[in-house]
Amino acid sequence: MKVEGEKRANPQQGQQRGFNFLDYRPIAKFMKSRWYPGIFQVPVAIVFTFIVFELLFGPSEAHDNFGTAGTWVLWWPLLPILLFLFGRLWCTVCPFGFLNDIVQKFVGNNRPVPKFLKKYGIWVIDFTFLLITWSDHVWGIVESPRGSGILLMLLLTAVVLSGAVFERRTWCRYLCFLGGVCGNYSRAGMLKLRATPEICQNCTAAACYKGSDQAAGCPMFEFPRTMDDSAECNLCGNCIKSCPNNSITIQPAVPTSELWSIKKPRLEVAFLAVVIMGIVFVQNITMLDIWNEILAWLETETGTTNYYIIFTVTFFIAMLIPIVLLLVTGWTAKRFNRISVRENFSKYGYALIPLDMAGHIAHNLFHILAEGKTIWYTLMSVFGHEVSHTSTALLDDPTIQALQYILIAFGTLGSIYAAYRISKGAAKPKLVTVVYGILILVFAVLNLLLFSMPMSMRM
Amino acid sequence: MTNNLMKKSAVFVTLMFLLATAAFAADMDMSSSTAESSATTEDSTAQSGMDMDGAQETQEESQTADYEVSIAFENDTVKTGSNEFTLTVKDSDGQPVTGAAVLVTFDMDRSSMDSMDMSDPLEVTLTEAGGGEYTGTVELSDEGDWIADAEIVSGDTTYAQQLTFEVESAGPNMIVIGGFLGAIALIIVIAFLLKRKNAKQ
Repeated sequence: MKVEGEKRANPQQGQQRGFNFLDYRPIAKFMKSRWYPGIFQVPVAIVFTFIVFELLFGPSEAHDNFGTAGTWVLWWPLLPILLFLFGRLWCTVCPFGFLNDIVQKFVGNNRPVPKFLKKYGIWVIDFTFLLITWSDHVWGIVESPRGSGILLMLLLTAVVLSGAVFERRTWCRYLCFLGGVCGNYSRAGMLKLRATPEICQNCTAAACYKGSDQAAGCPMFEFPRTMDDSAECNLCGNCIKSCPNNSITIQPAVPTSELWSIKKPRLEVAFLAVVIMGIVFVQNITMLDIWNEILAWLETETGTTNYYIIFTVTFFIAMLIPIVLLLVTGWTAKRFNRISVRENFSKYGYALIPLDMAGHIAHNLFHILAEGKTIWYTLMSVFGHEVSHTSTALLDDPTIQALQYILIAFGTLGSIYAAYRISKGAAKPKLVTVVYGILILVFAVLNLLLFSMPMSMRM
Repeated sequence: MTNNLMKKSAVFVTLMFLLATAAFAADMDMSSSTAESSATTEDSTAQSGMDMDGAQETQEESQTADYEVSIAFENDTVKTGSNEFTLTVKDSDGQPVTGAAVLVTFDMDRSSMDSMDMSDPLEVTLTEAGGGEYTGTVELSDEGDWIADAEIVSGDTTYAQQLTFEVESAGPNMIVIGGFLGAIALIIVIAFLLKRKNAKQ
């Protein structure tokens, strides 16, 4: 399947394609070199191995364990920010993806992806994401280094299996529980990789997809020529290396611009966007001081003290509320834009992504800024230096809260603007924007309300 | 053959997930809010460390003017994480005290702490199991010396008793870790053999 193509200079390069990072020789040279992306993958894999070791064999208390601090106070809060800035570049650097590549190289059987996964992959991802979030609350995975370690071991095993059996990065594209979130946030991000249609129209090699003697084909099963969003692009650089015509560009993108230019909105993507809103609510509520009071009330009302039952019911309701609200809004908007409720749900679910991301970043901003010093303290303790401290905070609570409010404000504006742009071209766009704007404001107010209350720490 | 392999893979992944689920349920800590807000009603006969004359490291026994109070944990060594415990209350004649309301407040012995970590005290309301025994579950977050302040309200009288015990750090579960490593090794070996077989064909 390897295709060799003659490399030639592109006469149109840098002229009709707008700003392109690859027009800068050092960047293009670096991304085409054999050092990329390995130069990032190897150090991250080493740190990851150390973190897994710490989680499994280090201190059993979260606030003493560097693995917990490195995973849940540093990496997890940084992830949505990285996705916003660089798209799914993290997925190339991710140690799970790197492991998949290594296993595949040595013992991979390169079976084709099952049709079931191709058809329902995102639903599988949606479901596992919800399942892991639920598991975290019920079993306290984040608060337990051993629990986090077992979760990582489970994922490692699944990645090895996927790499050993299936072709390319089947895991990242169709199975990784974070793939859906990464895809959604990348759509709202600031970086996009695209092929140049004018150059590709005469190409018969398709080396970007099939691979060449320079690099393997796209690990994410994408064909850059037909890509209309960044959801599945890892920026791994394979297509840049393989393309004989220098058709590939990496350009800055207007944040959220991909959300209003989606040609075929998908229900499962919109569904994930909506449930993430519910997940952010659950994450916030269960970390508030009033959660214990709510729990006691629920115990009285339901007549059971079984946390499994109480939390499952709470979780289900928290997921259901945003879904029902979007359906009701879609039903209302249907009167104006005359498209079905299902289509309304699919199209405008995308508009919630900026607020999703803002809520996600704002929630985790608390952890990285209020507990950030634990990363240093726990790292020092690994080397036998106990650091006495009275605070783990990098910033005081009012400053963190102000930053959270600002983020929610930006997310709200992004979502309302996305709803407005999605509405353009359909009937009564302004009225439809107002209808969805009200829904987005309701979600924004709920977020602000939750962020205004004191939150407990992870470590 | 591909379908067969895929089916086996699906079965394997499911089994691994079930294994992990079992590991979570058996090995991991239940959420702290569960421990704080509810007391369990486990059969006290299943617990170890109930022998009043035994030399259990985790069992401390104290005499008050009227009551004899002791605490025993389900495991010989108390480890960080979720721990079930039984508080036994007897009167001066050695008869079990029944029908009492028992509240235990757990806190670290601050005088023995090396670091500046400050966990909030944990209050656990116990459930009467009969025969003067009261049971509960507590999430002990840190290793070190702990103090349990038991408050026993029987009728119009309140008795307070302080008990001390030591908590050790919970180590890794080598069975679970070994299981995953074994599974990974097995996958790699099978994949290697399949690849070699396919290459020959």
